[in-house]
Amino acid sequence: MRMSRRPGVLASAAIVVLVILVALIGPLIAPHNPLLINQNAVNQGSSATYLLGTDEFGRDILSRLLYGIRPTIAVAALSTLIAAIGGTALGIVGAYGRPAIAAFVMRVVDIMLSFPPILLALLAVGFWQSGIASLSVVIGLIFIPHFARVAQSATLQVIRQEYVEAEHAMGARAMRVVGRAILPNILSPLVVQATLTIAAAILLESGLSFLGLGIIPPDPSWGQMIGTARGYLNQNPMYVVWPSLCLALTVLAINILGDALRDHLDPRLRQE
Amino acid sequence: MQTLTAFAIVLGQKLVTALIQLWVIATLVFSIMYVMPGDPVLLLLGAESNPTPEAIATTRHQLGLDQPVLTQYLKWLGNALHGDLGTSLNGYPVADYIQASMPKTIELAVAAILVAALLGIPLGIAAALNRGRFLDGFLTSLSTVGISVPVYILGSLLILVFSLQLGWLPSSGYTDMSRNVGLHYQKLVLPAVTLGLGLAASIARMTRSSMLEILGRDFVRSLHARGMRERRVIWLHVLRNAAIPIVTIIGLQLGNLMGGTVLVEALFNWPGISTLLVTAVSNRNYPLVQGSILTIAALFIVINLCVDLLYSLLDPRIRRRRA
Repeated sequence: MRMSRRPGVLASAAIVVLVILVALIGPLIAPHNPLLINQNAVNQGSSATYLLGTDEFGRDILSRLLYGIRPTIAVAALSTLIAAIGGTALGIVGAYGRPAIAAFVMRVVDIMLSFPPILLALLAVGFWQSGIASLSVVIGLIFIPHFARVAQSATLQVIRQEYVEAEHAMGARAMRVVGRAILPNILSPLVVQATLTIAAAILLESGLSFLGLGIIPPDPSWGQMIGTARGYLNQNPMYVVWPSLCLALTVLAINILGDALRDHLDPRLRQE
Repeated sequence: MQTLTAFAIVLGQKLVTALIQLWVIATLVFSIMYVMPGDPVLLLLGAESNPTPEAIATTRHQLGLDQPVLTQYLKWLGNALHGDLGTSLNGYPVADYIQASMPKTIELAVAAILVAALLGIPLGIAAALNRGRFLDGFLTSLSTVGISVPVYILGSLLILVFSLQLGWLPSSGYTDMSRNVGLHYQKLVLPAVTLGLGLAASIARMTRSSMLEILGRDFVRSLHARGMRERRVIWLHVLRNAAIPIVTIIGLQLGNLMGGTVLVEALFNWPGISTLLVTAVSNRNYPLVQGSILTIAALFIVINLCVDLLYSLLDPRIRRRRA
């Protein structure tokens, strides 16, 4: 079956495009200032003025949603970039480097992989200043070993191929072999890993913000809005529903796209 | 005899690895005190109160912070080995806090795993036996949703429906067993189900793919050819062979839950070890952070070790290959 014809894949692609679009132009279409407090309209339901209602300070939930996506997307993109670059480099060293160094690198990767990400994140962000930059670095570092594993196993498969041996036979230096022969041929598993990492990074960032250890108020982020709304379930039940819906749909869409991409790029699955 | 020796070797290797992991963690945890910003002595005395240099020096001496780092490290490591995790910044032993909160996390984790296994395994079997049909597609999509939806969203929605709308269950908190057994379990239901649903999705996926793999094997076809009843083939042969990866993923999930309950504990105000850790992190209570991280990591490593050993016990092929 072609990738685009699978049920849900098109819808997921549409959601992802929409999310990116909103992250870019959200401030232009937001009906209110997301930080504007209105003591006369606290915890209201949907109305003509406030389409999705207001939060505990009378701020417009829709506007906060439109703004709140930005730190999440920024952290997810930056941390995935950090994890991809660092992890790919480590993974290639782990497969192509000197045996002693390679073994050491993969040992460290294994140990790092054996800890729940949220624990590492909690430990790190708990003590440093929270913000987009530090969150990105912390989450990026946490996902480096995941990338390293994928890159290493892909590289191991590639270095036995003739074209790599041909480069060697022509006397190419290691960096050239990596750049010309290895990297282009391990890209597709890395792309799939990147999609999964973006989804995981979004979950991790919003989880930390939910715990109050991520994006610092009053700036909105989806996870933090859910965490705050938890305290107002009685007064304003829809307050928790909107950011939850946005976050769940976004992550679901990215995961479905990632699955479809993996099936598409894996020739064994394509033949079925 | 040979397999026994082989198993002993595997056991030895895994034990050594686990000990190294524990040591690395302990060292990292110890270094928290030194790499993180803020002077613990000032935190203890309260920086606002402007403590005199003499008072700072005295406290530093009491805490042993004026000794060389290596001495402190060895002492800390030795104490930790004896179960002495130091003193929390408010004066109580860290071990007391851990003793009070850890069982609650374990109870929640075990309950969640029960929910997950009781739901995930039958669903996975149903999906595998109906491969390619509507039920399979439906269950597989459902499991993608289950994996994607963050636990705190699922939990919030469950609270909205079952606690606030229907009023069937309490929305959060913890009641000690000695106070009220009924209420204790009522309060366990929502957090356990919240955690369990997400895990059930992965278990169902693993069960499905592992069943499908075994169903495609030659021996299944020959069992059918010999005229064995379908039900007997599935329950007696396929399921037993498919069980190893399923048991493994359940074990790994249990290990992950030692630290992985953090969001659900926060959502439901469950006073487990993750709540302790989050509070300690927010208050910069370093000894408490160290103690809870170390405990979580130790449990995680021990459970993973058990899963690994169980795995090599269950599957003779793995035993031989690794040895």
